[in-house]
Amino acid sequence: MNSEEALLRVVEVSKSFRGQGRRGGVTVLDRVSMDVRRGGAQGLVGESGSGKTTLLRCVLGLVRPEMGQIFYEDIDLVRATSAAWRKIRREVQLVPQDPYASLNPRMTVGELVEEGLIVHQMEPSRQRRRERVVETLGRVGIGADNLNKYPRAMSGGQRQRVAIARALVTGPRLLVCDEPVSALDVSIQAQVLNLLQDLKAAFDLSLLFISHDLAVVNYLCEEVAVMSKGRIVEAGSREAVFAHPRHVYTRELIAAVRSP
Amino acid sequence: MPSAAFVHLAGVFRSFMRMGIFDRIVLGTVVVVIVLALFGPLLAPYDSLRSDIVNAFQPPSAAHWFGTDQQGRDVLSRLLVGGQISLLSSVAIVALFALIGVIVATTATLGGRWVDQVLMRAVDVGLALPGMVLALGLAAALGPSVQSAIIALGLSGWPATARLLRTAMAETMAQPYIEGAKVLGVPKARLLLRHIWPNAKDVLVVQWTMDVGVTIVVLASLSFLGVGAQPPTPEWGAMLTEASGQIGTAWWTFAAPAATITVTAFAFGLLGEMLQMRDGQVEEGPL
Repeated sequence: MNSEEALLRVVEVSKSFRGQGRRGGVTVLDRVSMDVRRGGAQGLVGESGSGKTTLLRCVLGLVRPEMGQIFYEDIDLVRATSAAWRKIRREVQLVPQDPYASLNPRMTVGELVEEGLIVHQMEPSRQRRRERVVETLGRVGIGADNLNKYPRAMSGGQRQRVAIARALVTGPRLLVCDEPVSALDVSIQAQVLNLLQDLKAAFDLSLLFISHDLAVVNYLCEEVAVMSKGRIVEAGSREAVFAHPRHVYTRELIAAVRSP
Repeated sequence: MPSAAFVHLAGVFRSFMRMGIFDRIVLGTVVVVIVLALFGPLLAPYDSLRSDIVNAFQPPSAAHWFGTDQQGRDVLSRLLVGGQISLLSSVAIVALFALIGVIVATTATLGGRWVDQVLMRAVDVGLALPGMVLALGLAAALGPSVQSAIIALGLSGWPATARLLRTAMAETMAQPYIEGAKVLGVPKARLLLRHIWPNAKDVLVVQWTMDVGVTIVVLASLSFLGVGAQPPTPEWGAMLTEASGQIGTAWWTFAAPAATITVTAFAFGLLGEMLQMRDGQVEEGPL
C-alpha cells in the first residue's frame, strides 16, 4: 500500500527487551509491517504475548523500536521531534483496554473529557470548552448530568464511553483501540462496538483495532492481521483471512472461536 | 461562594456526627489543642514570664489551676503561651521536611534511573542515621534556640517522606491512566499536578499528621536537652527542664507540661490513624 492510501504505515519494526544479567533478550517484534488505510479499520489479532500490545505502544510513542519506521502521514514517528509529536498526539488517540484503570479516579467526567482541549489549547473560552465537552459526551451517549461525577460512580460501559469521549474531543483521525471491549460485560460489548462503528463513519476515523477476540474483529474490521510470536503470520481482507486461513495459527484461532 | 462553603461545612458536621465516640474525642482534642495554641496568649490568665517569688510552688488551686513554679509563675499560663511555640514549631518542622521530601521524591521519580538511584541511596543513608542524634548535633552547631531546633529537625526528617512518596508515586506511575494521559499529550507539569500527586498524596496526609505528634515530643526533647528553646521561654520541653529538679516536691510543675505533651502527641498520632482507616474505607467502599 502506498502513502496515498495509508494513514499509518508500520515498516519492518523490530523490538526486543534486554534480559537481566546473562540471560538473553526477548524479541517481541520481528520485522513487523502493517498498514492502516485512510478511513479503514485494521484489526490486529493474536494471543497475549504475541507482541500486539508492544506494536501499539510503538505506534503511540511509548516504546521506541530498535529498527524500522512508523509513518503517520509522512512523519516517521520513531524519529519525530517533540514539536511534531504535539500535533500527532492530537490526531492519534487511544481507546484504552480497561475503563476501570484508565481514567484518573481524581478527575470528574467533565475534567477528563475537557483535558484534551486544555492541553492542546484548542478552546480558550471556558464556556465554549464546556459546550464542546457536553457535545462530545452526548455523542457517546453520556448525558450532561454526569459532568461532575467521578468514574467510580459509573458502570464499566459508561466509563468506556467516557474514555472514548476523552479520545474523541481533540478531533483525532486515527483511533488506536486496545482491546476496548474485553473488560466489559458481553451485553455491553455490542453497544460499545456499535458506538465505535457509528463514530468511525461520522468523523471519518481510521481504526487500528487490537483484540484477541476474532468475533469482535470480524464485526468491525475489513482488514485483519494475525500476530504470533512477534511476527505477522497472516494478513489480508477479513473475508480472505477468515474463509481461507493459510497459517496454522490462524486456523487454531478460528477453531477456538467456533468451539463452545 | 458562601453557599458552597456552607454546604461543605454542613458536610463536615454531618460526617462528624456519623463518627464513633472515640473518633470524636480524638478530633475534638486536636481541635481544642489547635485553638488553645493559636489563641493561648490571649487566653492565659497571667503573664507567663512575670515571677512572683512570694507565691512560688503553689499547688493547683482555683486561682492557679495547674499551680505555680519555682519563680511563682502560673503554670497554666505558661502552657498556653508555650503551646503556640511547641505546636506551631512542630507544624513548621513538618512543613519544612515535607517540602524537602516532596522535592526529592518528585525529582527521583521524574529524573530518570541514575538520579533516582542516587537520591534513594541518600534517603537510605538518611533513614539509617538516628534522626534525633543528627538533629541534636545540628541544633548544637547552629547555637541553641528554637530556630536552630526547627532547622535541625526540618533538615533531618525528610527521608521518611521522600521514601513514602517515592513509593506512592511509583505505584501511581504504573497506572494505565498515566500512560493514557501521556498519549493524550498532557505535558509533564500538568501530569504531575493533576494525575500523579493527587493519586499519591493520601498516604502522606496520614503520615504528616502523625509526624506532627512525634515532632512535638522530639522538639520538647531537644529543648529538654538544652539545644532547643531556652528558659525562660515557656516551650513545653524547656518547662520540663526547669521543673526537672522538683518532681518530688512540686510534682505539678513537671506533670502539667509532661501531660500536655503526651495528650497532644497522642491526639495527633490517633488522628493520623483515624485518617488512615477512613482512607481504607473510601477505597474499599462501593462508591
